[in-house]
Amino acid sequence: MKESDPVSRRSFLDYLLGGGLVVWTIGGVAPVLSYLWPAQRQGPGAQAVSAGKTEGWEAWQAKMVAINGQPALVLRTAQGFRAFSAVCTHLGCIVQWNVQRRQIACPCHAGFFDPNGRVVSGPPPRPLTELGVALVNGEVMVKSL
Amino acid sequence: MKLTPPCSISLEPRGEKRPSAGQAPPSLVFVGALAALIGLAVVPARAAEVSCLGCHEEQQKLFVASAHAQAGLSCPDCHGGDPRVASESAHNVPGFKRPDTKQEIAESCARCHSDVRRMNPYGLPTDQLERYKTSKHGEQLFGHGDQKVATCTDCHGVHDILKVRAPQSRTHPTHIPQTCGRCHSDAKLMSQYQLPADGVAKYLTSYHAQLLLEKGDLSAPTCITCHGNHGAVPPGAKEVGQVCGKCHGRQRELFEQSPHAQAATTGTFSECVSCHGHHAIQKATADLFAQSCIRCHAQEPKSLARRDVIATLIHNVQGAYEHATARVKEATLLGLATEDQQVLLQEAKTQLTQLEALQHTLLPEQMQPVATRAEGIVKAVIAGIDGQERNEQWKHWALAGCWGFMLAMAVIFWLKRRELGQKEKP
Repeated sequence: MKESDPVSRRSFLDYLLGGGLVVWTIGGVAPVLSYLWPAQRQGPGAQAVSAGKTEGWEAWQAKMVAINGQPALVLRTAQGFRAFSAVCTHLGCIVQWNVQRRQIACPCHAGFFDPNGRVVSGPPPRPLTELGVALVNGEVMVKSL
Repeated sequence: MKLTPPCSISLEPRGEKRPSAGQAPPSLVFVGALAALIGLAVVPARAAEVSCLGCHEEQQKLFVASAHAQAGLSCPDCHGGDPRVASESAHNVPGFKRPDTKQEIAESCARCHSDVRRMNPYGLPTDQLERYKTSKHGEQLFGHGDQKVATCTDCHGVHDILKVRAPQSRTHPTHIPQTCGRCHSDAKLMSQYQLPADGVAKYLTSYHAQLLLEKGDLSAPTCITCHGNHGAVPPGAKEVGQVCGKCHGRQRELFEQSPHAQAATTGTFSECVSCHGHHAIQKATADLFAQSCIRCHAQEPKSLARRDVIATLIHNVQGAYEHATARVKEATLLGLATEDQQVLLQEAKTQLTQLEALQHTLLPEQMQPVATRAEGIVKAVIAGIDGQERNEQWKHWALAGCWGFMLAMAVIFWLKRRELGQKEKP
């Protein structure tokens, strides 16, 4: 390298080394910061998911949530909150809450379940699988099986 | 021992009246009294067992495990006789009976089973005999005295009758085909009534039998689900829809909207059976379109065109759903987070199942919106998986970049080290 070159070979190497060390440091510090930062989103394989706040959730109203890739129906009855797998035990269709009949209805083959998940009529051979519900700081948490 | 009335014990305050030495405590007196009373009550039954057992040991062995033995019945409850006599002369008393005809058997069972007061504690119905008399079996027996038809004991057994729920019972759902088949698979016997003898054999090849016997689904239909049990009558062509509709209610409801419903009322089309058959019913697949429709519509291009539209709609959605299911499965195995896609797949399956039920209307215009919804959901699933795979690919490139960077840093370090080494040389 000639003397007149603005950047000598040595200083070029130093720049690269310095830049690399900066990148290396950032790479080391970023995971630490990300760990310290509060969690913003739900990762896979959750043990419990929120179905919403109890406030404003009237009796005999239901909500659907997804937990571990499976739909769940969360219902507020006069006695409290109940959660069921929303997968019909007949052929696996997603059931829906029918507020007029106060029954859980399967749209595929007209299977009906009562608010306890028991079969009222139609082809479903078994009751809906019940999931756990916990109230945490005014929030309805549905637990996976 | 002096017997004390139980009420006198219960009325005494606890600990007030202590028995003196040599006198039995009141509770023991009560237990003794109770034992004596029970002993007296069981004497006839025990006598019956002992006296009948002498000659009828085989029947006794069968009877012990039966539902009737569990309910506390013994031989004289059905047969009468004198249980205190341990010889054949026990039969020589008024009221002893050994039902000789099938009518007598039915009437003998009905003495208890038509008695509401006696059956109430067991929650059993009391109309079996009346129903039986309306059945083909009952009509033949009570109308024509035909002793070859089935009566109570032919299906339930004689001394070893078990509750229907008992897995070993002849009337447990899993044993019903066998029980009915004892007569209805007997070609010689059935030929006397001009009845086919292959019903049970065909049933055993059906999807219903597969559900019942292989998958253990006790709600799957057996012979009696369609034909009735005590009031067994083969459903006529016009009743078939109602019989199938007991379980397949939604399909029946949709069928009522179809052009076939009109044909069914005129008797030119047998609901359900015309397409699905009866005893050997198979799980309905798209192949049924190719096999069934041409039986009546081979010369009707317009009807066949409608069939093709319906079959194509279902086929396309099925294909798209299966493709999406495979993609989600593959992505899950690769470790991608597919929870959202799995929920969407479940929704797509719901639409597909609804579409399959809707085909009973034979109205493509009703099916099209559901098919469109299902395809939309499937597209969203595929788009989600594609997005995740793109991210994954990007991560691979990023990883390659990181490796490149580390390699470059290693080279730089090596150059720097060499340079420093040269500098240190004199």
